[in-house]
Amino acid sequence: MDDFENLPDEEVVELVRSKDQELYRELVKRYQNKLLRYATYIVHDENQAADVVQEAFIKAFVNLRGFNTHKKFSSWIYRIVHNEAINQLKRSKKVTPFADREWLVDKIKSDTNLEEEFLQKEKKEIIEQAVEELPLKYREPLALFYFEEKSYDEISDILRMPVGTVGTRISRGKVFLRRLLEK
Amino acid sequence: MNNNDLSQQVMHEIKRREIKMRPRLYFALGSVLLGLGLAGAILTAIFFLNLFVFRLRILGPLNCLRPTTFPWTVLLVSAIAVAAGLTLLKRYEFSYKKNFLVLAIVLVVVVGVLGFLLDQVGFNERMERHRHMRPFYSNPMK
Repeated sequence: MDDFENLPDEEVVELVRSKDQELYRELVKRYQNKLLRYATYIVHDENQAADVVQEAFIKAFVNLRGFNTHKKFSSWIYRIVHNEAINQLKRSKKVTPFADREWLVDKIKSDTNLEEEFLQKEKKEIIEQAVEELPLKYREPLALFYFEEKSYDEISDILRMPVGTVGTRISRGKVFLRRLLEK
Repeated sequence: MNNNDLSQQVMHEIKRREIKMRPRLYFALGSVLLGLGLAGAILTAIFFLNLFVFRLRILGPLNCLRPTTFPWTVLLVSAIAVAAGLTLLKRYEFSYKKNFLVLAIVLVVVVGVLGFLLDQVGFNERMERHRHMRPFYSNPMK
């Protein structure tokens, strides 16, 4: 299996499709943690997120021959997880919990530059918790951009919206986030 | 659920449920059907809009303004076909990269222009003579 570690995702997909289905494990390993984190941002429950990601990987396996290897596998699998997570959210109709953010506000008030905060690992966790309180339409692109480090183009592919809309939502989400933290 | 070893669980589920990959043919057929559906919807929209223009023309300016003689049905069929076309267009990957409102306006304009032109070049007069097409032309008051 080690020989495949350096191969790009798309080549591994090709091998899974044509030679050895067991290699799919390698793709799951590459993305499981990132996708669990992303699904948790959406469904707010680690167990549900794990179910979502597992089901997404199974759906991806079923539809693997429909994947265009000239495109990015990461965007494709994130898109499947996104759809599964949204469906799960609709099923559970869970209300977004508002965490106690008093301690967050105290920490963040001294520094008003949101961009810098994103770059500091210690404060990243603070922002992560605040992001969870945002409406879903802002939470998704912000989580993908700052925490999953996806480009606007990749986010456009994952959320199926024009690149311009991605930019607008990230920008408005930041304003929303700032207001949330200043409350 | 133990989240640490998801790869183990996924592979176990694939084997336990005997999950198979869908064949390439399934996806190829899907693309063909999508293309045919889109083309069919657009052609239907153009034909019925052309029929709408034709009926307005033969009804004359007075009759066509009356709600009882206005050809609502053909206009409605054309609108439904445009809506179906837009729904199918949304399934294409390129559609989300573009401003969908612009795509929708382009589709409506194309249908409108071609529907109007078709009537102007005498398409309906020719179609009226075909036995299979007569039901569309038998009662212009509907």
